[in-house]
Amino acid sequence: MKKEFVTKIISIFFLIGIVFFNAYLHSAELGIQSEVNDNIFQFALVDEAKTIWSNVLSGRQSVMYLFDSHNERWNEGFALSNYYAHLPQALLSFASIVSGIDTKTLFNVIKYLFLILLPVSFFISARVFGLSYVASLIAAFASHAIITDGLYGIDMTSFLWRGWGLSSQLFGLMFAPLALSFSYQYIVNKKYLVAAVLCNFLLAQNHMGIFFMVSISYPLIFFAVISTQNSSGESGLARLVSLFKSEHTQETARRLAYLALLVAIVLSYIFVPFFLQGQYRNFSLWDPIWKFDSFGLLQTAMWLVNGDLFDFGRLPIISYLTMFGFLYMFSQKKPLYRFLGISWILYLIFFIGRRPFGPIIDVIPGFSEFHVHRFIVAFQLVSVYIVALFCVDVVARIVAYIRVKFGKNALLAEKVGFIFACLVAVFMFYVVEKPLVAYSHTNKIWIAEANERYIKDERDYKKVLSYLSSAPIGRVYAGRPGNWGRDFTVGDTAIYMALSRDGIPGIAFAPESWSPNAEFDQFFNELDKHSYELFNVTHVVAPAFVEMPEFAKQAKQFGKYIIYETTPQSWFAFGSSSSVATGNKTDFVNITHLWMTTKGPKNGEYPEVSYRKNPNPFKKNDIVLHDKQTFTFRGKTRRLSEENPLYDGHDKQKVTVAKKSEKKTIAGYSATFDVSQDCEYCVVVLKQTFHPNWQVKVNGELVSAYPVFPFYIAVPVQKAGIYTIEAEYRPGSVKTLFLILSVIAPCVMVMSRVMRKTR
Amino acid sequence: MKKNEGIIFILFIVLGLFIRLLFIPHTGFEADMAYWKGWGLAALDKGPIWLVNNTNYNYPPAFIYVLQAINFVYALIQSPYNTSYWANTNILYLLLVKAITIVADIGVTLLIAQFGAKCGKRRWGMLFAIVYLLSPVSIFDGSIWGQVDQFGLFFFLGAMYLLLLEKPFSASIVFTLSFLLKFQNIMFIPLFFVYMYKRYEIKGMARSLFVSLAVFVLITLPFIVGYEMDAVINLLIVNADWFPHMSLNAFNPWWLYSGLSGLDMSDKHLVFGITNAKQFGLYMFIILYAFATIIVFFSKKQDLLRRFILAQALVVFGFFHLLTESHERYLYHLMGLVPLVAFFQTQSRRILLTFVYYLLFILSFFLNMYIAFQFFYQSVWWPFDKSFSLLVSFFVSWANIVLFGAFVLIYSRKYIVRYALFLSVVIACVIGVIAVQNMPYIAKKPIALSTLKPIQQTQQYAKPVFDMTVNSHFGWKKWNRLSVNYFYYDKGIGSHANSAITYSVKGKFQTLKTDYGIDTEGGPEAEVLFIVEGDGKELFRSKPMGRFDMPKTAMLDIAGVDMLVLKIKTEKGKSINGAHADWLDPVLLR
Repeated sequence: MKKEFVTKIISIFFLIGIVFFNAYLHSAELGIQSEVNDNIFQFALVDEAKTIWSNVLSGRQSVMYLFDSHNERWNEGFALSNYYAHLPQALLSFASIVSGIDTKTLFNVIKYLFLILLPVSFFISARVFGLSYVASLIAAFASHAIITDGLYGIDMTSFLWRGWGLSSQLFGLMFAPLALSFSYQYIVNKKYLVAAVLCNFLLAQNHMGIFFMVSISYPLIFFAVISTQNSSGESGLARLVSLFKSEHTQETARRLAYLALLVAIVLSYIFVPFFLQGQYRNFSLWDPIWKFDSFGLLQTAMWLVNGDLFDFGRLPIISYLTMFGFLYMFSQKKPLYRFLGISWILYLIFFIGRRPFGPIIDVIPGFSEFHVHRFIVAFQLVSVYIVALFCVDVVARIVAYIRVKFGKNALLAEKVGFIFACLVAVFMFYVVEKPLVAYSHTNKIWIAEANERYIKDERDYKKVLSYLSSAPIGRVYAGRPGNWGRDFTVGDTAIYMALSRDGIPGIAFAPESWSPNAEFDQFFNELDKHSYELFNVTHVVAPAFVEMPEFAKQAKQFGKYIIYETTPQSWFAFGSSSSVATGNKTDFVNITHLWMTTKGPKNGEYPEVSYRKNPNPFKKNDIVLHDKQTFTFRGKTRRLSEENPLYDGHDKQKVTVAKKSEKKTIAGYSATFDVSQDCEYCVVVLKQTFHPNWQVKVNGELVSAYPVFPFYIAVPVQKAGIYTIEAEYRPGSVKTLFLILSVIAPCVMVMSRVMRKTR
Repeated sequence: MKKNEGIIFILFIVLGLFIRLLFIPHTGFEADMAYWKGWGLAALDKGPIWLVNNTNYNYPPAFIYVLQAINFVYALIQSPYNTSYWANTNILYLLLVKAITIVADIGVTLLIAQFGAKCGKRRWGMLFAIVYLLSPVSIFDGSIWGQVDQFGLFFFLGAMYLLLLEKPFSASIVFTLSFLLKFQNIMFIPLFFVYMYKRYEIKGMARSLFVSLAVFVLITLPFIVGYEMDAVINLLIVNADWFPHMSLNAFNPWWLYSGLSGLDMSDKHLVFGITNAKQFGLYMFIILYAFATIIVFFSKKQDLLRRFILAQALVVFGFFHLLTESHERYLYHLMGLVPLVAFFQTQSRRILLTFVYYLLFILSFFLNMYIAFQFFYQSVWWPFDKSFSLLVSFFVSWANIVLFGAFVLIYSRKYIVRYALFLSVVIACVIGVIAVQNMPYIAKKPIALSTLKPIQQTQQYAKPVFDMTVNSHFGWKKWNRLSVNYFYYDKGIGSHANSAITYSVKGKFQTLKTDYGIDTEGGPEAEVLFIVEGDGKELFRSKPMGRFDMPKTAMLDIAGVDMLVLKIKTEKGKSINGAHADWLDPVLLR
């Protein structure tokens, strides 16, 4: 008892040591002035949530917009929170409002705290799994010590300023070990149900991808339990039947099902719309292939044996401990060991990715668009516990061996062994920590340098912001990743990203697999007036060396930032939509790009985007897409390189249309048009990304809008007359319904438990 | 009596040794000898990592240490830095290299005899051992040719013997060494661990794997420490398509299929629908391997080792007969395995039958090796011309096939009947895979050319990449989707001028339809011509295509064409710089 207490104290002491060491290593993260990576996006989400909060608190918007809103900052807007994490952003922004601490400082502090406390989460989860204090400490240390060459894993390269800045992954990772361990304990030992549900909920709220990866291991717990049970029966089949018939097996299965059901219910408001409305989410070809497909067997094998999955830039200590540990897990007949072993191999296979398995892997729901390379997170996650268990068991075996082998001299041998072990530990610590210290040292230097540059640019940039915020603007163009925009910066942050981060709607943000328009605004032509019209670009921020076209007039200059104004644009366009292109969402990329190169946008010809199985009978021209290149039009199947099925100028409007007014509302836009004569295919197009949650009223009557090229909202107006169009993004009714269910279910669960306890 | 037998046995060993010593001066397979010398010298001078990264070394990592040791001893006696080192008649080097095989031969002999004794068949053990030792196969392979197959066999048999002694960890160590010394032993890995699972359950199998991993780590330690394990992985896979031919003088069904010229025919020729010979062979091998695994998996413990030996013998046969790219020497493991099969026979008649089988096998196998050697070097007696050699190879091929069939019938017929259901499922699955692969062909749908393997490809910069751009050749950070002016394609061939990619289409298709253009990742100055040839005749030539041209389509009549060549060329005098050119969505239509 005394020995255990001492071990506990020492372990906690060392754990605190790791936390303090982390705090020292990453202290520069507290002083970040401007992010340069994914955290720009994350920060913008917090800022967006802050805007919604202010609307909610002033009674101008429903609280539901915190769960589901149209974010206009990038790529012609997108219903991002309908698909993406939103609660952490809502909480962070609320904390900022309540505390009065500015968002940047709060964002930095929270990230920092999560970063340095991550080993604590691993430590607690290891204890929940039932590991000893020493093993838990090793798990915590391993979680801190893993390092890769930026492979998006659980290591610091994923989170730091000089790395990828994946704060949402960091937040998710804080709950991932806890979700895994509590779920394990509930399924195996019927403990911690509430904690399991809560941690899974928090995990999914912070990072749905990690939740997805972690949760697919839960059924493996069941198989691990079965594989360690004793069975009776002569043949293999009889033994299997007896295993499944056993009370313990059935009870385990019931608990697994119950946990899965509860978690599914509390998260239903996220996942049901996510899958139901999946076709309105982009599958971006601008994203690297490896994100979707991962790296394949050969590359993974090379990384694994070279140590790149755990030990980049040092001896592959953790890598080989993991591999030996994995095999060791199967040499023990214990459920936890088996579970970790099976999970390890499963995650490794998934990390290998789509290349060896082809479309078979897409049988798993959600896989076809999942960034499979992220399985490195789950792989490293379980490896941490494997390393801990393996190390502790090996040491225990060595000690036992010494005791048997040395008999009377065992104590002396143990002491010698202990000294030797300490020396090895010190050496290992040096080897392991060296690249970590080097990486964070460079991070510190680079942050300081970037801050200096930012402070130099800040004054002018703030003037740009202030000017654009007060101007009646559409969207702002400030370069893009593929041209001068990459190097036109505020500090080290590309200005097109900084402006979006700070609430100015822009185009050509680094493409993401969210808004379908992200695919096309990269083709914005800064010399073509019609490009400005198509994307409603009213302002350009550019450096002096960029020659702007004549129609863009210089309005202001603040230091190196020159602001240009173009001829006034509109959020609405008037045109025709006589063609309909039908296909899968991934088929539209080339035909839409082709449309952008024709006179279609100039002439106001907006073909409809249709995902229906059957073509729209009300349209004149049906183009059925078979893939990115091949289509059938008027009975003939061709490739786009052979024939352009999009008419150029065939529908040029004879109708005159006068726009009477245009207004931006809190969650939408409205305008009034006067249409001079009847027009079968006429449409008013709102230059915002289409989503079924947009509610459109024409003269107060609800009408059904549909998507048109590139992926805008079209409203049919076919008769002569005056039309007042009001378009507003409204949180989805499905989401609202399931949110209610998500709230009620845990309440019922807690109440029933309380009542049961009271009885 | 026993003592006399022992003395006679020893005398035979001495005789075997003497015969081998006589052949040491033979220059052997000169190319192999030159490789040993070059690799050994590089390994000793520059170390294993340099050897693997800078030469065409294609043997397993542990064999480097053997070559290092040979050269170390050589250097103690004589300098390897003068021209005599490279002479084919360098006796000292021949002695040192062949000494390994001689020692291995004696080791195999002793192991066979010992295995027989442990199985209660001491005399048969000695008899089989002596036959092995004095067989022309073992003498020719090691002492004349200078190959090291017996070296791999020695470790493999050592592992089997340790399994017989119920020493699983030692067996795992020796088995791991066996495939780290000689690649052919890789074919036994899955079976070995299935055996471990059946014999020692999951725990035992995991421990065995643990031990194997430990051996692997020890052997590859210089690579691990040097951060060069990718070189080891490359070594392990490099042989997969090293000689992409129907048969490397293995007189097997592919030798017959190729018209007795397996070395001159690519194994990417279509043999069934759009399935090429290599794939077809692999499917057949999978069926056989699955059958072998079933035999082991459903065994009871008391019968396990016998079945395991039998299964491994089947795998060796399958490896030789069913796969393309098989070498003439790939039957060598049967020299050790057939005697082991005999020792597990319970009736004397069956043992005698196996003995006769062994003799016939030796004869056939020897002829295969001997003629194959003679194809390259005339330093062995063979007064006949090439056509006669080919005629003999025809008969030897059939003899090899008949012996394979006979082995299946004699030793595994009952398992085919017993596990017919499982076997049917496996065969159905394989047929299913072939059917899925050929479905577009059967249904006369377009077939993506990039799903077929070219029989030849030449390119002046990097290598053709399928369904990605040519830059993707340089690793995942360079992976790119095929596109021309950002018009994307899912399928195609990312190539680079000047290139020629040849497909065997065997006159099975009427039309080739393809888009083409300079890839978005190409240089702004790039300009190329796209040319398609059928059986040497130009079928299509594009206009010069530049980086900013939109993709174009070509539709060509290829009826009756056997060899289809896709060429990308620059016009005379133009640079190939940045000429990243794509064949986009090329499809074959019936």
